[in-house]
Amino acid sequence: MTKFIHLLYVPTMNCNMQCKYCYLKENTTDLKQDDMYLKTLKYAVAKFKQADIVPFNISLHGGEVTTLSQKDFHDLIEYIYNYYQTNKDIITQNGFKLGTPHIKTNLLNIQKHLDTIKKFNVSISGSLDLPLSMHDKYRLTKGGGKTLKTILDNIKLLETIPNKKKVSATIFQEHFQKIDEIIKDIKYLDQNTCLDMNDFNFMIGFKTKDSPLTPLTEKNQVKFYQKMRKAFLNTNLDYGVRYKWFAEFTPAYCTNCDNCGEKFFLLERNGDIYSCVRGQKNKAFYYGNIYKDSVQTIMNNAKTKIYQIHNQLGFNRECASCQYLYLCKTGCPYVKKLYHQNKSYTCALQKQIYKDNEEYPKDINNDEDVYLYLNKNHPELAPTYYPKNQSQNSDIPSLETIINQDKKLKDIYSSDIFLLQIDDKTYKLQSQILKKQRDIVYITDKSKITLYIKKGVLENTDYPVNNSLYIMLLSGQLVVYGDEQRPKQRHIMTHQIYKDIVTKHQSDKPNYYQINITNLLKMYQDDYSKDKPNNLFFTTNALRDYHYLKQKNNAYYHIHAMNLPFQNIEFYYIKEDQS
Amino acid sequence: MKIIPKTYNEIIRLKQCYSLTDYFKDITEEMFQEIYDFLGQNQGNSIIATTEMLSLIDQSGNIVKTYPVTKANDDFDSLQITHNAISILPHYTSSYSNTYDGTSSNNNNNNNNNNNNS
Repeated sequence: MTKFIHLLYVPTMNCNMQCKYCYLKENTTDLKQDDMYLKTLKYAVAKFKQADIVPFNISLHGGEVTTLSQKDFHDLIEYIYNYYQTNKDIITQNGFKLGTPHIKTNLLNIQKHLDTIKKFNVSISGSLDLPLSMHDKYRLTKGGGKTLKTILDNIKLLETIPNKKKVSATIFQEHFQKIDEIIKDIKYLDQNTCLDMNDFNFMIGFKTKDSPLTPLTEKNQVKFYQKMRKAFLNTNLDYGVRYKWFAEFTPAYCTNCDNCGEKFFLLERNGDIYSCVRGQKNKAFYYGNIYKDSVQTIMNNAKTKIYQIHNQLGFNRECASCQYLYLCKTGCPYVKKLYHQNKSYTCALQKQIYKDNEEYPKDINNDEDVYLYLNKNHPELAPTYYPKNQSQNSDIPSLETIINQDKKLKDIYSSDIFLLQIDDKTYKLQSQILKKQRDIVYITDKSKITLYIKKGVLENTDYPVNNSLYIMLLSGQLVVYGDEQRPKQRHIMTHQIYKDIVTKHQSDKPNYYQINITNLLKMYQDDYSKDKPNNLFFTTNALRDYHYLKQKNNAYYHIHAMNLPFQNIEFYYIKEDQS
Repeated sequence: MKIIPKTYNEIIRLKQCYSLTDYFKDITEEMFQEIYDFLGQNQGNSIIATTEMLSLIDQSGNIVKTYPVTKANDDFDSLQITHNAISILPHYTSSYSNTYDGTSSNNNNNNNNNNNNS
């Protein structure tokens, strides 16, 4: 089956600016010129295609792509343009929007490539600091020169072309302190430039090494968002503030993936592949090299690395109940790892955005979605969150409902009346049909096996002396039984031990009677299945009788409890001669 | 497979490793041997597998290694192998179709550098 990926391509690490908070730091110098700008992208796309992997989006990122020569820039853009034309059908037929060539740029040198941008309808995404007064403080040239005037002049040049052009700005505490200026500058850009400010984006900055800026607290993130809404709702920028400016936190973005390593990739000119811009040059997010590694290796590295990061950071129990996990998926693994935190660094902001947007209601299937998420990223926790009831819409009452309405049934299904100790490990036995998880143990002919039965269970009947512990042993081999010709596990034996015999033994657990069943199980050692787990059930004679009576009296119960409902454990029996 | 078990624990471990082949199509001999050896190194070591990933977990709960795997049947969601036991979580069939399961198509705006796509 064809797999679709989002591919960011970094043809050059070179940048003509040295922004004070740039995450690439010293990596933005790339003086080496070669002929690999286009070759690497072509090579990667062909190699992916051979592995039946199709990029549905190829975007150019930096460094700064506009530092390429006019020819290299033109050839790259032309290639991407043609790529979309050639792959139009497969991309659109699989539900992806067909893009145009797209660049991320600091806009400082864009005039050099205007012809190519016009010719291939390149969409442009630029970066500014807001308020603009802070742009010249943080976004400087390598020589420390100011850049705002040139960039605004360049934006003016874009007026003549119809292409999509937008900007984005990253917000730290220092920006937030000048929020009124930000509002003023957004209005200025909207009224005085060709930028589509309804298609503008905010990003919430996070702490990186040596950054001079302070990340917003979660509380201030929400304050910032609310102030923006207050200023722009019901204005000509209503659409923007409502749907676009904070779109980074909606399901349209990569953080909505259970595992972004299955879909998002960043390719550098030297063939190195990383997760994305955030993970670029970070070993933990390095997936391999397209020239040196097989596509399978790169894909495997990607999904296992992201899985491991999410898994090892643990799961925040609050996320199981907030009902927005289906949207946020606990956030970006890069920032979670950076902050050593198990939920999104914008958690409060995201909750507020979802709350304000009717497109993102609270999850009515939260139990299921929490389980599905955990099963993918935290399988060690998934059993605890296994959804209770699959037949919510059914007219038939659930087994749990029927049990809750019948005192006697509660004992049949209780999870604390039987304990089984195998050597030094004790298992709390649960009803076969209620338990979420199958436990299969290995018993050897040297194992000591002790059953504990809770005091009062054998006595809870009209004539306790006639009651017995009821043990059923079934083989893993199947046989076809009875009138319904249903394949069932083959019965090996049924054994009853009457109450007065059970209760006479000394017990090392105060609330339980104790009985050693080692020899009982050994007696049938030649009858166990070696390939399939065997099955051992415990109940009492009185409870078993009541189960069948209930089956007779209540058809709904019968439907749920067609298989033996009693507490059980599955096992393999290992004999010495098997070695 | 060149493993010849000599003790009960070795027989159990070998049977546990063989049972993995009931659940996954791509357990190679190399993986088999590594899992067998890993479980033998410490009684607290375990294996946790989803239908897509199989991880070797040390006694402190840290992932030592993860293999991508391909499930051999649809009966289970995950399994765990511990000393002397295997626990299997049966497959849960969702009651609805989740439209938000990784449908995203935009790379995040990133870092303190931006990357918003059209």
